Amino acid sequence: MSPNKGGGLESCNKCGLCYVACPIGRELYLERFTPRGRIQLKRAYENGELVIDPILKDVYSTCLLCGACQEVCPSGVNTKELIMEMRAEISRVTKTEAPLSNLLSNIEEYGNIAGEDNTERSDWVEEEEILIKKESGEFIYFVGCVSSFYPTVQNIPLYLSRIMKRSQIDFIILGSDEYCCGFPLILEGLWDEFNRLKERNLEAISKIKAKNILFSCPSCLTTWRRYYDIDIPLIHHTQLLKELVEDGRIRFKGVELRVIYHDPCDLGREGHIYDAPRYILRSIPGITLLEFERTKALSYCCGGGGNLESTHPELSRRIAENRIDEAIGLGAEIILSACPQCVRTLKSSSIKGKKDIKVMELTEFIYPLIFYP
Amino acid sequence: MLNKRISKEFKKIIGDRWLLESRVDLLSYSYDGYIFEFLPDAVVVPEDAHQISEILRIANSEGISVVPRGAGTNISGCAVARKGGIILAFHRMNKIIEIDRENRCAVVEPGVINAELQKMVEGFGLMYPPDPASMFVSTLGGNVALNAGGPRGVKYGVTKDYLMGLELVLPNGKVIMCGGKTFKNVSGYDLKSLICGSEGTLGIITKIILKLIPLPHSRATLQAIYDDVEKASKTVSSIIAERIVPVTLELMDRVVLQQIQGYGGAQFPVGADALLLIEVDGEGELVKTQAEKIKKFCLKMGAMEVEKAEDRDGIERLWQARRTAFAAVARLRPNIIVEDATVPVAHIPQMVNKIKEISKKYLLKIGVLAHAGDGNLHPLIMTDIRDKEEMRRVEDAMNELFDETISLGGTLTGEHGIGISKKGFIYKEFKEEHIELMRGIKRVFDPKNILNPGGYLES
Repeated sequence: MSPNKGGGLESCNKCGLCYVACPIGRELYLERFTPRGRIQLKRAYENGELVIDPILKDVYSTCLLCGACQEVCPSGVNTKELIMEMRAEISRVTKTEAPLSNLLSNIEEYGNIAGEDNTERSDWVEEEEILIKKESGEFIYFVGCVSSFYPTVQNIPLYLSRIMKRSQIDFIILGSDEYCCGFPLILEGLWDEFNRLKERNLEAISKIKAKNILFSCPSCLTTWRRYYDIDIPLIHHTQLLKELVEDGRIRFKGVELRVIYHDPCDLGREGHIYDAPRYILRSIPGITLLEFERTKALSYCCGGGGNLESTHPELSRRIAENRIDEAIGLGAEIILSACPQCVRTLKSSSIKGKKDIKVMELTEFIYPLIFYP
Repeated sequence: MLNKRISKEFKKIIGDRWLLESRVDLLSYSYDGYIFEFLPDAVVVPEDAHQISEILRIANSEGISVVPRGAGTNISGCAVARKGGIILAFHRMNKIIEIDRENRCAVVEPGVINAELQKMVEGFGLMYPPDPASMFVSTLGGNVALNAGGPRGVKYGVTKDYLMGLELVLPNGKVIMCGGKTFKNVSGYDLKSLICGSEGTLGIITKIILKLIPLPHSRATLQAIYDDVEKASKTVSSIIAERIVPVTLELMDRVVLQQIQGYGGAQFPVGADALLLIEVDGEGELVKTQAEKIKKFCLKMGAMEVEKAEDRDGIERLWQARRTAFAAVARLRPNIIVEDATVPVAHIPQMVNKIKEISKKYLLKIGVLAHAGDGNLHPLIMTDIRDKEEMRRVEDAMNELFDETISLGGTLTGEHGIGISKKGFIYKEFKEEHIELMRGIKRVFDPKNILNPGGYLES
C-alpha cells in the first residue's frame, strides 16, 4: 500500500459514516461501541492517554470483526485490522477471562473449539471410505470445528459428502488429523498458539496429494487464505456446488418458497463470494430469492462473529434477532446462509426467541431437492 | 471531572447508567467530524425533555457548560466541549413520534437519524427533502441545530424550509414550544427559525415538527462532460437563468474526476475537465421535457457529451461517480478539509477559477466538488494536518478564498456552520454591529453562557 493511502489511524477523518454499518453500534449506540469510537480510542491508547481497563476491554471484545465498517469508510481506514491489533494488545497485556479463556484453552488442549476428544471429529461420517486412507484425491475437505462437533449443523458435511459422492467427486477428509484452523486465536492476536495449529494442519495435508482444499466454513477458508501461505487452490463448497449446477451434474426439483440469503462476513467481504450461493438458489424452480436491505458487502453480521458469542452471548443473540426480524418483515419463510457459524447463531436465536421462521444452511436446504440426471 | 455532589444529582435525574464519566467515554465524546478535540467532564444521555430540563436547571445554577450532540458528524467543531462541561448525547431520544398525513408533517425526537425518517415517510408517498451527505448517520436534531442542506437544496431548500415547530428547553430549565403544525404562522418573532442554525447555543431542542411534501412520481438524471471547467460552470448559472429548476446540479472538476478514475470508479472520456450531474423530478411527462431541454442546453454550452437516464439502474449508474467522489478524494492524503464557501449562483464561474488559482499559488491539491446549482462550493483541500508548514499554506489559502467569497456577495458557510472551523474568519462577513446583535440575543436566551460556549460570539 502506498504511504499516501495510509489506511492506518491517521487516515480516520472522524466523519462517523462507519456508524451506519455497525450492528453493535446500532444496538448499543454509545460512541465507544461504534467503529469510529474504537479507532479513536486506539489512537488515544497509543498516545498514552488510556490504560487497558475493563471498559476498554469491553470496547474491543464487543466488536464482531465483521469488517462492514471498512466497506463504508471513505478514507479507506483498515478498521478491522486496527481493531484486531488492539485485541492482540489486550491479550498481550492482560489475562484472558472466562468464558473466552475456556474457548481458547479448548483449542489449545483438544485441538477443537468444542473441547471434545479430537477423534470424535468425524463422528458424523457414514462411510469410512472418505476418511484419510488414501494418499491422493481431487479435494481435501477441511470440515472445520463447528460442523464437526455441533449437532445442529452436522448435516452440512454429511449432505455435502453425499452430494459429492453421488457426483463422483474424489475427496477425502482428515478426520482426527484435522485441527482447529486457529481462527478464534487470530481474533485475539494469539499468534504463537495459532502457528502451532497451523503447523499441525499443514503437516496433515502434506501427506496427501490433492488438487484443491474444500471448505464449508468461510472462517476456516479465510484463515487458510490469509495466513496459511500455501499455493493450492482453496475453494468454498458453494463454488463447487455452483459448478455442479452449471455442468448439469445436479438439478433441482421445484419448490414454492420465499427464501432470503444471508451473506456470511468471511465468505462475502473476505472471500468476495456473493454470486455462487445466489446462482444455486436461483436455479431452483419456484424459489423467490429475497435480499436483506443490507446485503453483500454491506451485509450485517449474524451476531456470531468476533468470538462475541463467547464473551457476550446475550448481545450476540440480540444482533441475530435483529437480522431474523428483518427477514420475517420481508416475508421470508427461510433464512439461508452458507456458513455453519451463521446458521448456528441464527438458528439458536430463532428457537430461543420463538421466531416464526426457519434457518438452514444452503447445502442442507438443497439436499432434498437435488436429482442427478 | 464533575464534582461528586453534582455527579450524584445528575445520576438521580437520569439513572447511574446514563451518566458517563469513564476516561474511555470522555475520550470518545471528545471529537466530532472536525479536527480539534476537547475532553468533556461528563456525558449525559437523557431520555426526555423533563430530564434535560432538570439537568439544565442544575447546570445553569452551577455554571456548567452543556453541549448537545447528535451523531457528532458535523465538520465545524460544534459538538465538542470547547470549554469543558457536559455533552448531552441524544442516543436515547430517537423515536419518530408521529407521521401526520392530514397535516403533512412528522413529529420526531432529535436523535432520529435523517435517513430513517426519509425511509419511513416514503412509505406514505411523502418526502423529507434535506439530504446532507451525512444523512445515513446524522440526527435531525443536529440537522436543525446546523440548518443542514444537501444536494437537493437547489430545488427543495434546506432544513429551515421544512421546520414547522420545535420544543426547546431553555438554560433555566423552562420548556417552550415554538411554532406548530400550521403551514402559516406570523405570530410574533419566528423563534424556531432563530434556533435553526444556532449551533446549540440558544436552547436544547427536544422535539421537532417537520414539513413533508408529496414524493415526486419520477426523476431523470443527466451527466454532462466538458473539456473546460469554465464551460461547465457557465452552464450552471445559465440553467438557473433559463428558469429551469433542477433538484440537484452538482459540479466536479478535473482533480476530482481523475481521483474517481484512479479509485476504480467511473471512467471519463480523454480530455474531460469537468462534469455536471443534473437531476430533475416531478410528473412523468414534465420530467421528460425538462431533461431533454437541459440536454440540449448543455450541448449548446459546449458539453463534449451528455448522457441521460430515466430508469432506476441508469440513474444509479450516473450517480455512482458522485457517490464515490468524496471517498476517492479523501484517500489521496491523510486528511481532507471540506470547505463550504457559498456565492450567489451567477458567480460560480469566478469562484471555480479562483479556487484553481489558489491551488496553484499555495501549492495545494484542491479539488472542486460543488452543489453548484445553489452556489454552494465544497473545495476539497487534500492535506496532512501533521505538516505544520503545509497547514500554514492551507490557512493562507482559506483566507484568500473567503476574501473572494465575501467580495462576490457570498457567505463563509452554506451548510456546515461556523463552529470553530471558521471562527477566525467571522469578521470577514460580519461587522461588530452584527456580532453585538447576536451576542444580545445570546444573552437573552442564555445569560450565563452555559450553552455550547467557545463559539464565534466570543471572537
